Amino acid sequence: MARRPSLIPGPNINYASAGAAKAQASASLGAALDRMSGFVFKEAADRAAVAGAQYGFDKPITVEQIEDAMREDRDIDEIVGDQTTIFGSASRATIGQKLQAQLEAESRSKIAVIQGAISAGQPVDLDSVRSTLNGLMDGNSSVLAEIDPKLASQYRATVSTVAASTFKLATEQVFKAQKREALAIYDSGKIILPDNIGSLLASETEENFYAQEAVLRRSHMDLAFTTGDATTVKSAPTDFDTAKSQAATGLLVELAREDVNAVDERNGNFGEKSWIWNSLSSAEKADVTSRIRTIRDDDYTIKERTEKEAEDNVKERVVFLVSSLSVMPQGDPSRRALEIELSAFHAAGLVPAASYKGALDGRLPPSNSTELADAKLKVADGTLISNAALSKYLEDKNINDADKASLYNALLAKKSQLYNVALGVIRPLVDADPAVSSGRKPLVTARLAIQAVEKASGIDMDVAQVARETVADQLVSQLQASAQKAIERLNTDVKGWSEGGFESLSVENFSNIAALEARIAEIKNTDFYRGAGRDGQVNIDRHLSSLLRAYKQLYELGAAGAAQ
Amino acid sequence: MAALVPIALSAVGGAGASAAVGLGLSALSAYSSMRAGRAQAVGLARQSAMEQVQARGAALQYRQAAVDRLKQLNAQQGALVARAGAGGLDPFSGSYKQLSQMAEREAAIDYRILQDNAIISREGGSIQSGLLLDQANRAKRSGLYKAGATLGQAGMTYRKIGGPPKGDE
Repeated sequence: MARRPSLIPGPNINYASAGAAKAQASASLGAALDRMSGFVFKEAADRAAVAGAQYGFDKPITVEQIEDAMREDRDIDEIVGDQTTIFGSASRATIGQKLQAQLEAESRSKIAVIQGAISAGQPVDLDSVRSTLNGLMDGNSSVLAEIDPKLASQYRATVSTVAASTFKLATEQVFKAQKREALAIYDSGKIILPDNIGSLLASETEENFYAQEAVLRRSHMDLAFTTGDATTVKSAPTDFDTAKSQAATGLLVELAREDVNAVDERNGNFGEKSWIWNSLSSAEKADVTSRIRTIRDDDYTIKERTEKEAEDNVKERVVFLVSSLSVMPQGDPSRRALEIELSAFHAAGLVPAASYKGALDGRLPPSNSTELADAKLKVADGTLISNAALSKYLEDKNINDADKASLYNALLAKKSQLYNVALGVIRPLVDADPAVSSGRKPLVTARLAIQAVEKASGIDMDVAQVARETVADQLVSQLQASAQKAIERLNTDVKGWSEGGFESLSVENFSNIAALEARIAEIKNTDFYRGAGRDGQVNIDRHLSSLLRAYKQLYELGAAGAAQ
Repeated sequence: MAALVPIALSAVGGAGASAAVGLGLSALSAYSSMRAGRAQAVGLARQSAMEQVQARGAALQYRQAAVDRLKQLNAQQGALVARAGAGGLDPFSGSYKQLSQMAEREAAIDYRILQDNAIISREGGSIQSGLLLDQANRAKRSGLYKAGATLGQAGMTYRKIGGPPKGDE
């Protein structure tokens, strides 16, 4: 039997590989296209970045536009560009940098104005400065944060550095002003302290005084502490003690001035106020004794002058009696009393015979017209300024009592005129003098005015000029006393000063301010000064400053140095 | 402000044109991706059909082998009968009968194995064909997805480049 043909296996065609090859070709093409599009997109992105930056630079965006958009709850992408795109991001960055620079410049300018005002000493309200500076930082940085938080942080960092220094300056100025104010209050308190202590000394018993003095001292120390000034706090106890000493010695001297015979400084007897004397140091007692001695001397002089004035008054009264009676009709009812008074003076030998006769019969001898004219001239020009001087001048002159009376009247008018001129000059000067307590100002003014009028009449000078000189003399005396006191304080307060070889430190020994300043600088360069310690140096500095201040004023007044 | 708009537009014009070109190229790239996917899918689908044809061929070969085995059994039985007749022996009893029965058993076993092979071959081809069809579908979808991704990325890049705010365009 023939063998039947068998089936052969089917052809093995790989369609998958063919498809894969075709797909590979398309994929390669796609990859090439991807690379191209990637390149083109990168190019587009680079161009968009440049265009965005240019757009941001050219577009005039203001802070107000951003603020308006924020207020109206609009998206600021509409103004500065969308930050999620390359173009918007670039434009936003440029606009942000522009605004940052603009806001920084504006803020710096505003802060500079504030700083200028503070430096110029304008009053500073710290809260106002703080809120202004915070406003500049917070307001502007919130606008910038809308554009780019990083720029806002940079702006805030830059402005806060400037603002911090401004705020520091403001704070310093406020503290300085507070310190100045506290020091001014302290100084005011220091000036009136002698008056306050004096009032207590005058009105209180010893026991009450010490209780109230403690209160006053605490209050004074509290004032010193509020200044925050170490030197003031350190000197406050001394200031108080000085004021107390001044008040105590002043009160005792005042008691003596009221009635010098009611006090006995040799035995320390000041009546109810003897306890004050007992509380004084030996130096203070010596001071009081010396000043009361001057009062006693003045008192003696015053007595003498009073007696002389009484005698002159009698002479003047006689003149007026004679003058009045000589022209009074015989039947006048008041004539009798005047005649009795004149008779009494006549009996005492105080009425010349011719005057007595003329008064009774109405026929006074005629005056020498030349001598009368001279006398009138001397009264008018101020040569004869006191009743005593006029009385003395008239003693050997042939001038009858009626004319003498008219001369006295003219003198009275002249004195009043000159006294008013002197008062006009002296009163403002005395009022401005802090060394004279307010209670004593009228007395001192009147005394100086009288002195000026009398001095002017004696040396034939303009009374206003003399009044100024009188006040200047008074000031010079005070300054000299102040300088002397500073030197004494150096001797008493600074340990070892008197042994230190500084005895030449006296206002008389220096020809000008520079010489004294050089000497002070020399002293501050000595081992003694360096070894005095901090407290010692503060003491020395204070007293040397007082001395220099007094010397400068004396020098300017021509009362010290080569100008003296 | 109005004066700035042309400046901005001209500046952005360059970037915009480039971006549009990029967008076009990306579209072409997407088309290529789609084509690549489709080509791979077609190849795989054809391969799937081919696999089925080959499996059927293999099954037929096994069926033919089974028939040939039966033919071989007939030939063996004939040879036994002939040999017994020549020797004057009874071919349907004794050792001849045992030899005949053993040949039948062996042929039956072979026949069943060959029948099973035909089934395995046909069904295996069918499974392989199905897998290739799935691959073809996946390749097609993959091409589409890749094209979509390419277009999406291009669109995002185009948008990312951006331009002036709306009011100034």
